[in-house]
Amino acid sequence: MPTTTDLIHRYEARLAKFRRGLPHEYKLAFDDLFIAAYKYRMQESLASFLQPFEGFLLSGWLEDHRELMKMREMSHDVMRLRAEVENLRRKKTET
Amino acid sequence: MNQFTCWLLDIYIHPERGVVLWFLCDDGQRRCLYQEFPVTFYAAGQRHRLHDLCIFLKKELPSIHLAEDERRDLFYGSTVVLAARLNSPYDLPAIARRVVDIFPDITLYDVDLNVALRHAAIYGTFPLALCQVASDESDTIHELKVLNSKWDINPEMPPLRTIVIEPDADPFHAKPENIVVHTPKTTAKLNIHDPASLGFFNYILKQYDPDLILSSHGDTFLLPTLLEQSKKRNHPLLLNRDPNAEITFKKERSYFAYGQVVYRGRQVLLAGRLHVDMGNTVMWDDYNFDGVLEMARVSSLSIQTAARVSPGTGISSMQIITALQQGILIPLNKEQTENEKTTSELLEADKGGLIGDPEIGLHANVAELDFAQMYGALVVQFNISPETVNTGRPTAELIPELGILIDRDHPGLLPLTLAPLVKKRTNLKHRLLVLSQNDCRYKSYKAQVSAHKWLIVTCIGYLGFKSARFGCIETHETILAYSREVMLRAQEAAEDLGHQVLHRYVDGIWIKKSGCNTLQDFQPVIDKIVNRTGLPIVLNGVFKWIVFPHSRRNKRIAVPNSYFGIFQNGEIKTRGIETRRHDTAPFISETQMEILEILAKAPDIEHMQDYLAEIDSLVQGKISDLCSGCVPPEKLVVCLTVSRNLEEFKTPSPVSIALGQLESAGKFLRPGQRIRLLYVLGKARARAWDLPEPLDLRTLDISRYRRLLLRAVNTILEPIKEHYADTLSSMPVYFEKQPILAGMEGWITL
Repeated sequence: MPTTTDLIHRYEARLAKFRRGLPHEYKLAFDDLFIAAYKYRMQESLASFLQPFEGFLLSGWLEDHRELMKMREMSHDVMRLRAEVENLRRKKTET
Repeated sequence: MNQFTCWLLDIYIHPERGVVLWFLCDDGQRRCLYQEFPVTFYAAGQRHRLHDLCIFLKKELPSIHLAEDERRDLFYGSTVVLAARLNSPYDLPAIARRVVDIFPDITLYDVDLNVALRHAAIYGTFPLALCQVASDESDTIHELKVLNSKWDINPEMPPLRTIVIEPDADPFHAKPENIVVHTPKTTAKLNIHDPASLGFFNYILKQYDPDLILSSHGDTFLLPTLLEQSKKRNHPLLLNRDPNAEITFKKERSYFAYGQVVYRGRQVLLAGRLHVDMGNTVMWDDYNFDGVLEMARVSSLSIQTAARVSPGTGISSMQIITALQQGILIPLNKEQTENEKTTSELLEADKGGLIGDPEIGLHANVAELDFAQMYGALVVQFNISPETVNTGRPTAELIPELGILIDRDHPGLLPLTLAPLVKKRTNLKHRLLVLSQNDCRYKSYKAQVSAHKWLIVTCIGYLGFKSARFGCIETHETILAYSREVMLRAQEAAEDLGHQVLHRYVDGIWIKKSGCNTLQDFQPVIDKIVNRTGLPIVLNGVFKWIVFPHSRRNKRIAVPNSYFGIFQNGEIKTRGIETRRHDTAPFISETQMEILEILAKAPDIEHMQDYLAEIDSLVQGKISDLCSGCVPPEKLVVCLTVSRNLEEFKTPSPVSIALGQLESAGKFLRPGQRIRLLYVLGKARARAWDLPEPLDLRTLDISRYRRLLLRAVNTILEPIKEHYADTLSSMPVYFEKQPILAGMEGWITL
């Protein structure tokens, strides 16, 4: 049986022409998708009922969602800091 | 009647008197005794065919005793068989071969078993077992009692008389002229071509009468050369202690195991004394002669055999002894095949151990936790065995997480075999924890633990091997399914206590938590994992720092089997990097190790940068040595494994090129053997190290070696550079852009 890493390699090879057709900056994004597939290969093998490509897509989606959550958190932090700055500014103008 | 207290040295078949047993007696005498040893084999098949077989056997061997019996087949349960008892094991191989030819439809059991294993199953014997023996005037044993156990931790050992023999040169590299013989008192040099040498060698054998001849190139060169000369000059050699027995020769062979081609050189086995060739001993580098002895003890195989067989054969021998003791039939050939599965079932079942992707980079205060002999412990604790997994027995219980039925009430063949081994290994490991490295027992315990490790690991792999007698792929899959479940539980337990899990690898887990940096800090997580998995887990140590490097292909992709770090006690641990690889030239691997030794001096991760200047100077010196030809060529030799015969190579590679050069010089290597080569300039690119012509040092491809050296340096330094990326101003400039020497350009970007 092929390992998950073997399957990723195979899909990468089969999609090589798809990648070639992409503009340069999209190629980088495409490669990034596969990095997520590598990163979660252990988890993909645990969910072997999924089709391999479903597993890769789920990995990419998971990685994106994690980034999104981080950005949300950062955006909350920025909002909180902005509110604090506003508060300080208001207090300063009041005094 | 004579009574002796003695140690069993060796056991083998005698054509007329059953078996020969060599003993080292407590009065210093070496005694050769004989024992009657009837053996029984079994046959199963259609009734009328068994009847025909009875007639055939009676005709061939009138003394044979035949009876109907009921025995247990591991896979099919109770089976009615024909039991055929022979007075001597000597006749069995020949008669079995004839039965196989004439009655191909009959299944034979217990026919091809090593006589030492049969003896072990009945009398509990094993190599160097302490025995009480009673024999008569004709040296026939009437009573044999084993006084100790193979599972004893510190068995009373006999003083083995040992001589070491070696040629004065590696025979594959240059023609040896002398044989060097080391006895405890003297060292003698015997000229190979001098006829008097044979006589002198015989004199040493006679005077010293060694129990063990430890040799270098003994199987492949020394003993065959000596025996050839002895035949040519009609001067018999006294290599055998038993004058009536023949020296046994076994042919060289190559085979495929665990994804690799393995080579075993030809073997020369002696009767009455032992011959162990260090170069032809499996795992000699790993566990030495202490490990060989332990392998022989626990498997009950003769020491000469145990030294030369794989751990798979060792564990298989242990299973055979358990089967004989439990009355389980041992088939000549495996007959079971894998159960039918759908593709999705196959995908679900056919997985290995859990291997995660580590968090890339440099980490401080990381604990390495390791399940102690995980697979062995799983087998014993959950009673996993071919006959207990997914059987229809009413006592079988469902393991919900895995959907597997296991009979926990009746101990299986595999747990029965492994339980004492796992117990002994645990005991030894506990002793090692409190033993000083200077203690005389330390090395021996370490070697024994290593031998046990290989036996346990191979046992699980062997279950999935299609030809293993008691192999069962479903059992193999069950053990791995359990192991994955255990690892996931361990990860959850660690995360529940706020630890970050950095890596998971089969039976090991690497964790860190802010504020945890001592062994005691990690005790709660250990307790929680033990509680949740039911398996013992040990803390191997806390790393001052550890690096999980990224792959060469992409900086964001991790390499699961590669890491290096320094434990808090200063011990360096490396896996998967250049210094661990056989295909790295010693000069490069030593440089990488020296860099790690410098880094090991840093008290913590914050002070690592203080040592970079020292590393810089070391690397500069090494490059300078390399470029100025100060590195001896033997330090640049690369060892690669020959994977196929020369004509099977499709594209030229360094191995095929060097192999071709050797064959032109009349030197031949088989798949599985190591080839030594140097990288050279010109079209050839590689040059075999073992060619007879002298090497022209000007042809060495120094730029290639420099590239490889810098790559090895980079493996260590690049993660550190990346870790300190924010404070680069405080780092030496060469980490940024400026190379110190021409040749350092590629340091970071290779």
